[in-house]
Amino acid sequence: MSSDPNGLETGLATPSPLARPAVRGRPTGHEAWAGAHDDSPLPLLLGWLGIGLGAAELLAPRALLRVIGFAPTERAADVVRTMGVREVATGLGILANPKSKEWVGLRIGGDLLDLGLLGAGLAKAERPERTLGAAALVLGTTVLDVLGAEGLAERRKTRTPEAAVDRGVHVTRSVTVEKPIAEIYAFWRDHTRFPRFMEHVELVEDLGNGRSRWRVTGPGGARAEWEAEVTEERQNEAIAWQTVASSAIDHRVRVTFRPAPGGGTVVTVDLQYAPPGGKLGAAMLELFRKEPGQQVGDDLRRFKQLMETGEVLLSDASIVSRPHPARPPRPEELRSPS
Amino acid sequence: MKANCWIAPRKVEIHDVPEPRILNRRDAILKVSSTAICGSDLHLYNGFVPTMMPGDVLGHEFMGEVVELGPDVRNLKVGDRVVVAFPIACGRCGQCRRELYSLCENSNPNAWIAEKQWGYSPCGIYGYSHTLGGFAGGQAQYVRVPYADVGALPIDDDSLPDESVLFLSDIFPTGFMGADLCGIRGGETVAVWGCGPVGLFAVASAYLLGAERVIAIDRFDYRLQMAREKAGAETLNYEEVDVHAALRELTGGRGPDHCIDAVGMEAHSHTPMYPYDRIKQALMLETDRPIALRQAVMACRSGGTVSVIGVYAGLVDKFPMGAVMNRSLAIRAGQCHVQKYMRPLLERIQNREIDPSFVITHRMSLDEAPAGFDMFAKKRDGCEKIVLAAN
Repeated sequence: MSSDPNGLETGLATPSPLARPAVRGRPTGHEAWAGAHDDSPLPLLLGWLGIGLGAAELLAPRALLRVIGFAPTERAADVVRTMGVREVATGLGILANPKSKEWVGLRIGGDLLDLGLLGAGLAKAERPERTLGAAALVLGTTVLDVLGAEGLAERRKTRTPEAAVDRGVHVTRSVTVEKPIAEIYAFWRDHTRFPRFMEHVELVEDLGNGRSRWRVTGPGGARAEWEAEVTEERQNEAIAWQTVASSAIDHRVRVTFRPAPGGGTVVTVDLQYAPPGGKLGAAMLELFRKEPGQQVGDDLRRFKQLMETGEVLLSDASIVSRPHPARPPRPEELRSPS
Repeated sequence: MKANCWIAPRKVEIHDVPEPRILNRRDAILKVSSTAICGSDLHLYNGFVPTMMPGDVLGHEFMGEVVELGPDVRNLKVGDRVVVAFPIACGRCGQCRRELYSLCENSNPNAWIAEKQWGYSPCGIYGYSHTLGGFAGGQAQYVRVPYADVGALPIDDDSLPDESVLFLSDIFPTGFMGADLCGIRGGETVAVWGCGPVGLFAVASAYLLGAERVIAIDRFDYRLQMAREKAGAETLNYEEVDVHAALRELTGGRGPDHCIDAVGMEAHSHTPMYPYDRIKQALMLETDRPIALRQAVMACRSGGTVSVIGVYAGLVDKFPMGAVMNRSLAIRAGQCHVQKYMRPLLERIQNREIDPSFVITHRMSLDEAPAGFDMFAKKRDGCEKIVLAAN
């Protein structure tokens, strides 16, 4: 996650992609997905392409104008030189920051500008067929630029150390609660209380021996069930559980507790789940329609409210699941869609 | 019940909506007696605050009678007459314990939207966008008050009319905090941008806290006249004088010790800065026009405080950071921590140090709220502050 609070997204040496499966101890069937986003040479290529084209535009604007079918007037040459500056600048930007999708994004903007200029000039072109050819080339470059930017965006999204291992989703979120650590730890030990603050968790049944059965409903009504088992319990320090082998949606959760500076307790949730794939993956995506970090963060905020004020605060808009104006709802609006 | 609802930019309407009910254990339901239109409501009205929805009930300044209580409100009883602080605050979280009530960590169910806009979320506010919680406001016959044990202040003294205590909900504490943030110790010169109701209370409060001179800046003569006659300020009309030069000369060449921005994001100017910022705002290159703020920063005495109580929503452009850094200016800002100021300010009202009703120019019924918004937005008929009778 680029928003990983620990700032772990890039630059760290990461273990081999095959060192660990998505959920410890069990294969996930998603290995083929790994490696799909290895470093691509495309951004560097695009950078050099920009510099090359830009240099031509700057040094030989008139020749270039003839090639693309225009009369080499002084005004047209100025436009070409300006575009050359842009090409060189974005090219240098990409070479200097090959992992930034923003610089490639600027190239896309430039492509569109080029296409616009070619289109606007088409009527005045001396040899329109050449202009159309140039436009086709620019269009091809645009496709490459879009591919390059998408690749970088994808790469950044998955580049946490854990995700580099698992190619899954890994989320870490913390909240500070003004309550003693023992009280908070006691609350987290009882999984059946989780639906009180976890938005999409409808029910958690205690099956004994550290096992529990979860029932979850997403905002769009998608349902899922799984069994989980506790894997770690250290009093007032940490609690962890993970889905059991037969579960539909593989994930593991570790919650740690530590005293907050100045009083209270810092609760940190570490969630990892297998990458979305197939029908169940789609259901999982729907559950986390919000960015997953956001969902965990919101659940933690509700947990904080529950501990500090005894309940989760509702507003006129928030008691209705659809977008709803800030006014008391009518009875028929309260009916849950799921 | 009747409620004044936001429909679209520059369009509010009275609609019949369901009455509120208790949703949380520390809720109260009020039968609203008096409510007011705030200058910050105009930012919603003019469409500068994102995440408004058609049908949102407006209003964050209101008072009334408790008609129903949640089981965990123990300091109020049905029948109490209360005035309500506009920030919704739990009183239990770390920020509330530090008396920074408008930063309550538990009162915004839509905190995630605010986090996208501002990094972290402040408190929820009645009738002030879905970014700030999607709570129905108090320009209505009834209103739900969450955390009523913290936000509703009982007014036992029946000799105090609504008009004298209603503004404890927002504009009096807000103006007071503007002066309080300046750290006035006595003898200072303070300049206040904006002579709307909050600006007038900032002027009055600066004097209450010991300032020697207060200079108020606006462009409407009727507002400048109120600042002079009702709040005791010296005044400058920025369309007639060069404010920077005038302040410099009025302060012996060094600038006001402290500057208060009681204008916010819809500032005006007769210089080219106005079209510059207005166009950038329209093109979404900035969301707020910080014209008054820039001027306050440039005018402030070195080492002084610029106190920002006018509302800003997003991004400003061309902010004179060099002046702030090189001249050791302090910038202090915030939505008012009303719960912290309500009681001491009620005492000042009871001691007859101030009667906040001096800002009122118009009294209307709730039904007339749409006409009131139009009049207030257009600054017609000498409109300074409108109070609405809700029932």
